[in-house]
Amino acid sequence: MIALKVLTAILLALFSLSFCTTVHFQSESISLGSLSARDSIVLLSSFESSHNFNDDDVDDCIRPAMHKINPKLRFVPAKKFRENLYPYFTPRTTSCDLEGYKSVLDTVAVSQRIDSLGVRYVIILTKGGTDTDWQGGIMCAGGFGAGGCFGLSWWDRKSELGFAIWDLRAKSHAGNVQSEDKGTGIMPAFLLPIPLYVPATKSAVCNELGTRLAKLLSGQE
Amino acid sequence: MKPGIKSGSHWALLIILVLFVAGCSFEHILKFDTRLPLSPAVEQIPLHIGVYYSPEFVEYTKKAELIGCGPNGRKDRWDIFYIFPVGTTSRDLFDQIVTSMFTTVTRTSKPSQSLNSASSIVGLLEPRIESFDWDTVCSDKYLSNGKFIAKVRYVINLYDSLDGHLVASMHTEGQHTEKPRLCFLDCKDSFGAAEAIQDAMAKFMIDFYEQSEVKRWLLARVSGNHQ
Repeated sequence: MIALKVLTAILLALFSLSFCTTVHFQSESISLGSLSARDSIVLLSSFESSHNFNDDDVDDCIRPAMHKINPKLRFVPAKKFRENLYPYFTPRTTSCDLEGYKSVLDTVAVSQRIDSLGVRYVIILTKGGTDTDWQGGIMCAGGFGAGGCFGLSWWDRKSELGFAIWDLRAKSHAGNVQSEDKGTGIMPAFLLPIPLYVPATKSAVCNELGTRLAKLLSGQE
Repeated sequence: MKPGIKSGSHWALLIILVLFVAGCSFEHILKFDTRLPLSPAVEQIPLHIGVYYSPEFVEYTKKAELIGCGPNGRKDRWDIFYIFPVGTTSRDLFDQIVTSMFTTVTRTSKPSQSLNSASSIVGLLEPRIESFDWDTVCSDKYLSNGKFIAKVRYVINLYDSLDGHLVASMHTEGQHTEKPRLCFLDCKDSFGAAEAIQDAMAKFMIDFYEQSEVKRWLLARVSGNHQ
């Protein structure tokens, strides 16, 4: 009985700890011009991050939160943008410095296509990933007609995402934003291992970044 | 039946399952298109260029086995093989990009045809496939997930038509990672191969204008054409 109370207390402590996660947000040198009704935004992944986060993942990550904050924001799908700007702006040929952007944007064919698409800002993933570190242990055993698992496992999960914002009209780097979140998941095992809490660090980071980006682009911050 | 899933796919899946259980291997020739929906965003050079595709280039195919991911990143062989028509798909895209780069492009059946002094062709491009690889990368977690990775390498030679000398030999490579999807008989998916080919060609197009030998040659040929 005492052992059960101690175990419950430990679980409650871990459970409350896991809810104490906060999302950290950082932005640097953001200077965004006001968006006109014709201006659109493109959300892109980068070649380095494309193993874990492709264009669709970036879109799923931040666009819903951006739309929620400002439904008037216009987006051009990454696929359409890349198709129009080929051979530039493929995952590998997208510039990552100001000089590269200026050189590409000075190409007549490129600037004409960007104008026709109405793209003002490119928001591109600069870093992205989730790390999970498992601790504790669960042991499972089985015998003649019976079996089960006992123990306690928890895992620390950290998600981190960063984006660079490029202003294609001003041919400038408008700034960087990044966010991270940490959380602890718990999985006790009494006969069966059942996860009590799974920290949604990635969706928290996506939501935070989407919200902040939409506010920055809408002049609310 | 779920919307979007054709009844043929169910049969194909069943046949593959039966073959798999029976220990048979399954081979499928992939059909995919590498051509771009729009012409590339480059300015045309006012030159007449010849393009030569060797039979080895056009007939280049690669057979690769589909690998599944087991626990802790274990790689499981499924005895399912895909045949990638790398040569024909590369030719289709190369035709499109060269047409966007030069005002006039002629495909030649022999390399010497364009090096004939009577022809107005000023240079000849000849692409060659160095390698193509397709594999599954498995994560090392217990519940491992996999991704397809396609890599292609080309060497593209530019010859001058006056004396037939090699102006530049340009190496380019493309790579693409894609999440696995099930795809059977009527499938148009390339499992990342089309994107890797497009990636390599995009690199070639950008690097072409940056190569010092090519720049010098273009300058001489374009100014020669205007005189």
